[in-house]
Amino acid sequence: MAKYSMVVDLERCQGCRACVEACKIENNTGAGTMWMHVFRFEEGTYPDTKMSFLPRPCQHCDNAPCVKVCPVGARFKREDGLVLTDFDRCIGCRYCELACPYGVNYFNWQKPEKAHYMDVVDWLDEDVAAVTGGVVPPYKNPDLDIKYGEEQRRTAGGGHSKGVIEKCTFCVQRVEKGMDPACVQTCPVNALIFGDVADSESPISQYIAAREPWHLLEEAGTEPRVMYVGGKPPNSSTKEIERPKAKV
Amino acid sequence: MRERVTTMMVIGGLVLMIAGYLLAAPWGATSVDNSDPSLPFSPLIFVIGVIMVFGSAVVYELLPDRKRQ
Amino acid sequence: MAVAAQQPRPVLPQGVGRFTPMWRLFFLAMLVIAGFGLFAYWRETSEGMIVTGMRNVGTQGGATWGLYVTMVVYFIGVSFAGITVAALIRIFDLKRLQPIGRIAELLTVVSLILGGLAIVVDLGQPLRGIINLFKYARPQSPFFGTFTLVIAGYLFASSVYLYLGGRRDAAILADSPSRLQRFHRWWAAGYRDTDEERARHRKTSFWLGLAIIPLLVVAHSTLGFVFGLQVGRPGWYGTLQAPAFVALAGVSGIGLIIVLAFIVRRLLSTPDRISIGTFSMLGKFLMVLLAVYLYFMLVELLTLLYATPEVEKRLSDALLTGQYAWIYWGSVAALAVPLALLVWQALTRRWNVGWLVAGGVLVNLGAIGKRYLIVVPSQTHGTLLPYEVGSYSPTWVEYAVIAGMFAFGALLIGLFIKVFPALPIADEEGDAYA
Repeated sequence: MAKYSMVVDLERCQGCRACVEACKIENNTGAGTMWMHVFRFEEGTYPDTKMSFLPRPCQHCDNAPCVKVCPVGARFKREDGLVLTDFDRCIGCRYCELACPYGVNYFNWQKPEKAHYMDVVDWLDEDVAAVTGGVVPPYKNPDLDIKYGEEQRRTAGGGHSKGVIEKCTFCVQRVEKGMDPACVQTCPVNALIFGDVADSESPISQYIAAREPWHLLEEAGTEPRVMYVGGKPPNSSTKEIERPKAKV
Repeated sequence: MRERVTTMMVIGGLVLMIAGYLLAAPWGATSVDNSDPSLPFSPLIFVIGVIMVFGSAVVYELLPDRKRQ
Repeated sequence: MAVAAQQPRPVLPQGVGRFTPMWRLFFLAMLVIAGFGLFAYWRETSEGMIVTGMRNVGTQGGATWGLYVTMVVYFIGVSFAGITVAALIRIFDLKRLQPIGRIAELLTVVSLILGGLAIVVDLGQPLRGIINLFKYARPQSPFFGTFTLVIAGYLFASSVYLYLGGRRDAAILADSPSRLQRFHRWWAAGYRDTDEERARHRKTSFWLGLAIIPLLVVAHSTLGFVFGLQVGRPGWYGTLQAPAFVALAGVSGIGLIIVLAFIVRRLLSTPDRISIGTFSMLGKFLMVLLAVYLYFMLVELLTLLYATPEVEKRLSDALLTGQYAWIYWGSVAALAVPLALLVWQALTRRWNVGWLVAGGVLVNLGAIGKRYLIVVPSQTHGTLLPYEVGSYSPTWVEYAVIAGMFAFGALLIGLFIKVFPALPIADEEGDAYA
């Protein structure tokens, strides 16, 4: 049985946010929904500041508090380590969002068609359509409506309907096809590594063996599957600057 | 007869409560794995059990005593 | 042929069946407010919950549980006191509280209905929520207890208590040929006021009261657990949450019973049915519960001031001196001032209904403030990762829906006291039934 994990190399991450973009395009998430988020941290006071970046996908915890609190079992953990949300069963109570210490959950506050930057341009205008070929963004990823896994539940992608919650799925629709998640594939400096840690020959296992990984919020007891190498955990003097500007 | 029906309702209700709870609880699942109730609608069974236990009070008060001649 | 002499319409006690113009105005006003609330909720279901002020915790810098969940906790808290009073009356034979037994039970039933409604309006998918909760609710989620025991079990049990307690009065009223006679006959369900039936009822209500108490302790504790078990939320995680919930529930519930009793007393032609003795006993209960709750708050405050874990520092600063300070200290005052008034009245043995009612209103405002402080600040200022702090301000939709809920509750209570006597009808020995 595969056991998927992700390693984030903080010595390589340069804060370009390509992973955030890739995630949005692959998963059709709406405005303000940052399944992958990259913190920009600052320590100290200007001019003696140190800056760092920290990508924060869902940690797919082994002892996930979000799974424990879901009243209807819409949030569940698979054998291969992925924590997924069944958006057909979710009732939108948002308890998982509050149980998560990492803040990775996003609730669909509005109708999907209103969440997708549709009003920027009139996509159906003749001249625009001539260029775009009549496609209305976002390009709808056809893999997102399929049921996945042994459990046969619809868990991929976001923004399907208002009133349900969603989060990073490690791109389950790609993993099922043997591909890496979109963020991992896109990172220009290979700061994100994904793979099967149960296989000692896999690139990720070798990466971990060579470095000493640490986890985010170890003390919360959530047993996250995402590991960080290099850098250091945020402490009490770390401040986030440059919060995402997207307003819902 | 009234007493018997009431007692049966209370016991039946408690049984349904225990059964409903146990069927809804995650047996055999590791701590966070997929853990649906073993029987769909078992929470409803639990609730019906609670209703039966308290409904027995209505039965106890309302059901007429069958006088034995 | 003589026309049969018109019998004067029999007058039912306590204004039952007499829908005065004032009452009709009140009913209409409540209907309008409730209707507006319904309209606001329709906006919410059609546009999505974006019309509220809630937003995601973390990158969106909002609070995802806001006024609605505050009201859920508040209403369920209020329901605690109603049935506790009613059960205690029966178990400890507290004759002085007997007159308000039915009002207390009614308050429980209505506030539980409102609590259930408040949960439904907070769900992103309400219809799916109702079905899926019955189908899939999991005991390992703290919500299981809230959903099954509180809303389903406790509401039913309280309704049974209210129903059975009213049968005798219903039988008395059913003798009078009024428009409500069929309703009263249905409620009475063939009750005959024999010694045997009385004994039977005493036995049932004793056991029922006894059985409701563990149900309600478990139910309110699981509500506390919804918050208290979350390691990831500074300010929520803590062992005191469950007991503090129960204590504040008692405070707000008894406060509202005092207010309701006062209103009912004003409407009755025999106001001394609810004597100062009744009010003073309620006042004493309130005083003890307030003292317990303020003790919990003091312990919490001292712990925060002495040693705050790093992650809680931001939160406790916001509560004590920052963004939420006005609500925090305002709630403390709204709870402490009534306590002082109650202690004064207890020491001088001079109980004043006006002060008691003012105290009842104040403690409820304090309870709402405190519930808000439990729910919201841990989201805007309590993220374990160093997100920027957030903010939450409710929109007209949330205010309208909540006002609609209060109006609906007032409507239900107002309707009830016009179709059924709010106070148990005393019999010849002056022994009220209930």
